[in-house]
Amino acid sequence: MNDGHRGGSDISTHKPLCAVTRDPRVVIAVACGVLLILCVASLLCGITAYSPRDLYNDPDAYSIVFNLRLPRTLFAVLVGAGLSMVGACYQALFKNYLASPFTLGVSSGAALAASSALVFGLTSSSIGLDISVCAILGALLSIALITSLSMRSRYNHGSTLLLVGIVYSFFCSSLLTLIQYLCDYSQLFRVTRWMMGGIPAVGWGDLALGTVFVAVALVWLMRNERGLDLMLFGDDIATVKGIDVPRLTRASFVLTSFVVGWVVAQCGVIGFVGIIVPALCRAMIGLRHKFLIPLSCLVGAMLVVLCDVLGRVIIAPFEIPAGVFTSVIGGPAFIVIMLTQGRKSGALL
Amino acid sequence: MTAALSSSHSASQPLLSVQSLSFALHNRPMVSNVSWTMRPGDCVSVVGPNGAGKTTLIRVLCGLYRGYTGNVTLMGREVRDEPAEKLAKIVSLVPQRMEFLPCFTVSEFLELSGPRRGPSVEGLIGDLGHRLLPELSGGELQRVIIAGAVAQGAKLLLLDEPSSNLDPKGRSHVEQVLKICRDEMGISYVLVTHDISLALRCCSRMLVMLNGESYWEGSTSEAAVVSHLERAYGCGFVKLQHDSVVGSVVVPT
Repeated sequence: MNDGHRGGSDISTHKPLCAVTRDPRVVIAVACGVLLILCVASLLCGITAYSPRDLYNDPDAYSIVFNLRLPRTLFAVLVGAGLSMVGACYQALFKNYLASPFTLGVSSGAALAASSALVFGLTSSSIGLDISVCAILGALLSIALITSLSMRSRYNHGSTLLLVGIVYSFFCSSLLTLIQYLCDYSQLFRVTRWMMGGIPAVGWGDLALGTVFVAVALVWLMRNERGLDLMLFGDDIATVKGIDVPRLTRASFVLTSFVVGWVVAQCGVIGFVGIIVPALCRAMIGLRHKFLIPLSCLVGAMLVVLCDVLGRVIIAPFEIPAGVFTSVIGGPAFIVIMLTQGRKSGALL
Repeated sequence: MTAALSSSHSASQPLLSVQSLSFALHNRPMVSNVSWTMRPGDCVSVVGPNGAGKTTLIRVLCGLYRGYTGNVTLMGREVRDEPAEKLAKIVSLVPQRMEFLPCFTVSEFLELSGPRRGPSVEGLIGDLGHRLLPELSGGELQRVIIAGAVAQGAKLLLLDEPSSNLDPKGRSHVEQVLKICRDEMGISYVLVTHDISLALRCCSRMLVMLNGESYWEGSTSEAAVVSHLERAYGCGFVKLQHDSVVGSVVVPT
């Protein structure tokens, strides 16, 4: 019966060995605790480390922690949660566990649009709204283009999608290189630094827009968690089980594109978070999206906060962008998870 | 929702009504001018040579293909206009094989399928509840998929060659499940199959399709069934009966 299923990283599974037995609620509770600890560490660690006592005794410490580090930490939480949530969503909609904003080229498309805005002077707002708008449009156009191109193939949609995404990503990277070539030195530094993918120092105002985008997308995905589960069986089964597949797909793409566009506009391209985090979470608690989406948000937030903290302390007073860490950690981690956890749990590939 | 649907469906109303149905896929006519009616409790087999349009027909019936001409109504509701959510309360598809089979347990699959539970659903899955879907044999998987259709509250099952990839034991499982659906649950079904013997055993009526058209429709007990099949398939059939076999066996000659 299973011989005809698609192989590779598609959802179909050939040899599951055991069911995932961990209680998702317990895992989510533990993840909340760990994230809280990491957030506290992010507030206290940096170029200068503070103890909780310093916050009462030292007004400068209080100001730095609450006006600089707290918004930055919350920003990292939003970025990690957003990217992981979008990755889990794409993987359900495309029925391919290698799908993510990064691998499908959506992040690259958004980055191309945002850097074009940056270099060609389209930015006029001090909060970078124009860059965000351009990046969101870039993400929307990218996902529309990638989906329509891959749908033209009648064979193995999952693999075709990834190939189209990779080619599209290369295409966008080439255009980004061209834009960098045309930049003056100050623009080149700005674009290159931004493209490395890091958590910027932000104010409270910068958080508001991202919070809205991430919250709206999260609420939508949680309200449609059954639909995402059924999408894993394929569009036909989801439809006959009562899911309006085109509506779910379109709305999810639009809402998640806002998240990806905002993240890229603010932080550049932070790779691998959208792949490794949902993969890790699936290996821990299984496939049900009512648990997978919130856990992915928590673990994604943990990963980005951790990478941001590491980036701030390893070579202080200089910073290493969080995107460098996610890529360095993410690539090998994904391969390890793929080769070990997937076989053990049967829940990954 | 289910109650509303039930109350709007009078006993005299057909469960399924297909009037002058035509459907083309990629500009190629797949089903042409098919008309056909099912009453509640009817079990119909759809047979015919490969490429006759059988699978396309049932994909239209369950709302997967909505760009058809003519009329297809389920409990009085036009399929093309009915939202997927409402259609799922009336009809469900049991595919020949699952394109994707994620690692859900059988219990999780039933939970995702719908809220309906009870002895009928529990009886279908037996002790499979804790098993992962990819671990199941072909026959067990078909049983679970049918149980999922029952759990979603479907009153009409559309089965696309449910036993074609199965060994004799698996086929026997599927046949038993079909009889349970028909006799104990009162669920109607449309069975697309090349197994003429199965069609005769499990269905009271038969629709023979040829080149996308309805070639013949009638009772499976009619003596002329075999001759219609011979003309549609272009080969001879012989009907065998033996005391050890319930019903008759039809095999090509």
